[in-house]
Amino acid sequence: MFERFTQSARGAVMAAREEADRRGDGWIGTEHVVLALAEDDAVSEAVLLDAGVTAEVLRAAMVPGAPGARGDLDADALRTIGIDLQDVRRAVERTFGEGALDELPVPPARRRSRHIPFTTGAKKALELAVRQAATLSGGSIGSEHLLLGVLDEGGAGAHLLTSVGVDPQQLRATTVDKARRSA
Amino acid sequence: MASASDLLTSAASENPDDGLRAVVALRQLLERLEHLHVQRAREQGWSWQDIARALGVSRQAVHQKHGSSIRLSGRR
Repeated sequence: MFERFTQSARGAVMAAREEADRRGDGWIGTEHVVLALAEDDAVSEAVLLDAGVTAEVLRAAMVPGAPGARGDLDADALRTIGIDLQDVRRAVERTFGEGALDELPVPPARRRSRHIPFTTGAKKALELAVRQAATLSGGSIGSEHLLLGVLDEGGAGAHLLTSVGVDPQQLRATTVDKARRSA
Repeated sequence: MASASDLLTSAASENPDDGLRAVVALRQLLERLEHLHVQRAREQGWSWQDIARALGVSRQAVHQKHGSSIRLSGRR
């Protein structure tokens, strides 16, 4: 499926995977794709920037949706089963030093070849990106098509964008425009 | 303010969402504790076999899980 992806679109898919890995999420969803697109690709990044979206803004919007997925342990959830994270933290730090419990067991960069599957929504978004590329730009799939795929799929990634104040219709229109012009 | 036992009975039973979230949190805590202790054991010269026995898993399992991260963090 990826053979018609441009370098930048491939880069975005790889970056989405890394984002998922870094967050400790067990899936690659359209939200990770959006984050990757905002982060490191020229075409989609420019479109997103115009819409006021940066990777930082997206990250800030994502945190509450994924309790404990990042570096922070989920103190509230642990409390519900009678574990006081503060107590645990104090005990562990007595032996291992301050901040010991904040250390991730296996730093993401060293974790090779962990398989993280795409969500159904992300697969759908990739398919839609392929379709958009065929319609708008003669078939080769760029990051702008990925963005369109995510928007058209209408799942987690699209919701994330809406949650940071993006008008999906508007963003879609500017992205289509960009895709046509760069075709 | 609910007492600890209220929280326990409410959250340990009914709602899968809360229950599963607690499981995830506990697993993350467990993983970190395990890593810290395995690392320390290695620093104190324990063999992978000793650590595996203490953890009740196979030597392969413990080495596969911790081998690369602990070796790379400076100590053999």
